[in-house]
Amino acid sequence: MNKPLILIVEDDPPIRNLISVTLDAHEYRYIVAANAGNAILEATSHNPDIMLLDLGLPDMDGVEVIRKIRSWSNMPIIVISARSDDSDKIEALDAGADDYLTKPFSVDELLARLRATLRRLNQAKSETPDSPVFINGSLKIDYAAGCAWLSEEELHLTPIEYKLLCVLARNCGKVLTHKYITQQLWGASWENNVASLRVFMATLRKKLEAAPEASMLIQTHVGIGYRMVKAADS
Amino acid sequence: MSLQKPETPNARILVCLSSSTSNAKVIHAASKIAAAFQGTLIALFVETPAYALMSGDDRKRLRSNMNLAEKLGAKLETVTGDDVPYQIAEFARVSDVTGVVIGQTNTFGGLLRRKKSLTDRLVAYAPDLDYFIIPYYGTKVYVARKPAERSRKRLLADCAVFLASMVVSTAIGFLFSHLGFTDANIIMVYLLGLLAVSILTTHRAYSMVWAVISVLLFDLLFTTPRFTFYAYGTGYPVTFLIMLVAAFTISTLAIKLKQNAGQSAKAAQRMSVVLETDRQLTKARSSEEILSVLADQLTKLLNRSLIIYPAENGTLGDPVFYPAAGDTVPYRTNEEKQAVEWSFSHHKRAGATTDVFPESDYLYYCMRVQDHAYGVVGIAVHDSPPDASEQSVLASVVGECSLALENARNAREKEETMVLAENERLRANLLRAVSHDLRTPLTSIMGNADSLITCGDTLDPKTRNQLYSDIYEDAQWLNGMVENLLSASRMNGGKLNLNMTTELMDDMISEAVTHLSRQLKNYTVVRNRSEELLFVKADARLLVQVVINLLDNAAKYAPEGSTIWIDTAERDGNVVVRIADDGPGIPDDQKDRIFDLFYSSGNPTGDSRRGLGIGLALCQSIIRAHGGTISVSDHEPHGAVFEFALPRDEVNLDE
Repeated sequence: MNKPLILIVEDDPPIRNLISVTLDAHEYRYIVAANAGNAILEATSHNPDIMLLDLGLPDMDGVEVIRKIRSWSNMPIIVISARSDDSDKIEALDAGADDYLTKPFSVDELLARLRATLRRLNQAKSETPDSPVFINGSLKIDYAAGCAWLSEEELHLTPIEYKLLCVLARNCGKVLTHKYITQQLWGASWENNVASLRVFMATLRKKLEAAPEASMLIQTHVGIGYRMVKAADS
Repeated sequence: MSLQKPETPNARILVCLSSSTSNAKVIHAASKIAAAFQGTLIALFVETPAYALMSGDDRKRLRSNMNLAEKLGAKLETVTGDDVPYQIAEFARVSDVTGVVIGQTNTFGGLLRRKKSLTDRLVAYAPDLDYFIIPYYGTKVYVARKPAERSRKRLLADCAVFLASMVVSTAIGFLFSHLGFTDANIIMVYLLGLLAVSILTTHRAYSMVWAVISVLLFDLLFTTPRFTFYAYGTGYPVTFLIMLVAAFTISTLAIKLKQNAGQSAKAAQRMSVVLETDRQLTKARSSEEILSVLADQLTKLLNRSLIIYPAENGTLGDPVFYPAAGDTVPYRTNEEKQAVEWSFSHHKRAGATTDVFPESDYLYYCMRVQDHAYGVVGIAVHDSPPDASEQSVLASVVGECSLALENARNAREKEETMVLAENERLRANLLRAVSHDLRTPLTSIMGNADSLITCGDTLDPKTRNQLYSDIYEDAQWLNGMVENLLSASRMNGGKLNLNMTTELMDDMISEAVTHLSRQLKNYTVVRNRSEELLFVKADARLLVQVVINLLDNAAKYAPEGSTIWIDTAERDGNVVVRIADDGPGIPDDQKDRIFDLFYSSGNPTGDSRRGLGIGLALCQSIIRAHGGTISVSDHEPHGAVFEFALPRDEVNLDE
């Protein structure tokens, strides 16, 4: 397999340096861009596998870059944000970013995110789109039959829990914002929907706890949303 | 009585209101005079006992005169008393009136009246005032008139009392005479009878007639020779005269007493309402409380339906209706709207009994202090307008409430300013302490990095690794500090910046544990979760920060290898989180101060083991901002327990 190509978009030289040194040491290929204009140029000309995007760029808002890229490409975008506020991360995720890292991040964290994203990418390539069965560790969902199994035992889920599980599974690996999930479940995103979402998420998790590693499949991102991770990543 | 220009720059012109038709002319004149002096006009109505007997037409005229005065910009006042000139003079004295405008008839009718004219008596009471006399002819001044509808029944009752007391007094007189008591006793009995007549009958004439008849009866029945009008004793004419004078005096005094008692009872009732209002207003804090006091008191006073429109930011809010018992007339919001809005925008009375929207069912008072209107109060009129004294008490109660509303607003503004100042002070302290706290780790990072750059090759691997991990730890500490500062900056300005959502407490704790996984790797973390789903309404970021700080604190003060327990439970409607460790614990004398800002930075041991500085203080202010409590106690057998409680939130499920 070819070594994956990562596009690093970061205006701060020491951070850019840190990331490129790390990637180099772990045998990734990389290209760098110091501003949004270059980033879009590099993305179109090199078609990288993954984009690491700093949200605070000098010439354009990072979220705007995501929108531009998303207009023609589904390449995974991992957002790097120094802002402590959750709202910009949520905005970036809703614009189409797949994951986020908050500065200061550790090198381990960065590498883990890259590995997970690449694995999802490879799996997506090998699987036929709209496959009727989803398998993640001990969890199995049969979309056609409308039911789910855990370790070969059928899960007794309420309709809304099942729907929630499907939304997470279909976007496995991506961080889904509360807004996105509630819109998928109820077609709207009111404050009470988010509160209800937490209840259903809690009951769904309780049901998954029958297989301890399955309950770890769903990550909570406080203030942002949820993500289902691939079994090997959790 | 010279017409001399008042020298005081702030002329205060007083005009007296009455029910007479000519009063309007006097009011107009007074208004012109006040304008000429560029002074204020005060319209005074002296409510005498005769007011209660006033006919409907007179009342109507009085009311229209009051409205006229108000329209001309006069301030309406009412005082109660039976000596009109004295009341006017007293009022003028206490309210710094400089000039008085009075109407006066030609003194033709004066021949019949034994009293001096009102003006003469007023001048006698208050010689220092300037007087403006407005002459008029042929109209009646305001005097008590026999109420037209006085009933025949009343007359019969009075006569019965009269005759009964006469019979009883004479009978007792005969008894005394038979027993051989002196004349003086009999005279006393007659005077006693007179007193009874004065008090029990409604008109002075009865007691006057009684006075004369009692003297005649005494002469006829008890003086020798008896049963004639002759009297042998030389002293008797003097006795008769003295008896007559005494009888007249007693009857006059008794009648006055009776009138005063009625009047003072009424005045006392009004006074008590005003005082009660005052007392309750001092207790009321919020605008809502003040308005409810207003509604209570006015209902008590008037027994009429009330409607209160509170004002917020210069616009009228939704009204609150207080229906009186028995008032079944529905409130016509749309029809009354104009009157309410006029009253609010012009800061004046409007609606029924006034000239502005008189077709309204309600009379509206604007609650205002100077130029700021706090709302409008409407009083149901329904064809029975409040009388002058009711209006005056009404005005004073409404005025009190407006003042209370103003005070409440001022207090609120003052509080806001103080909070702002306090925030400013905290911010300054924070900056000072933080810059001190930041330097220490920065020095270490810079020094260590410098050593590694300049002589990293010569150091043995063990020392080099120590320097690397020191840099890492210090950077980590700095990161924690920055997180706290960011949280603190969002706390500034109170709850406004809180992003409150319904959160699952377990999620918050998991997030904090994950965040601190590196610091906690050498500790045993034991979690006891509640079976129920415990939700709280909170700013997720800040709440996670609280748990992080408490866990970090436990990890800092308990030695490696210790156990940290995290329990969540529901208690009395609160979600309680308990974080305990089995470290050395916190000495009692430090427990009080542990939540103080910068406490650990002043700690003598702080240098060797860096505290979180603002961590616990921040926890406390975050928890308080969420309406919760936080406390510290001892863990058995040793260690510290931090516990915080937040109100539990319920979730209505969307299916």
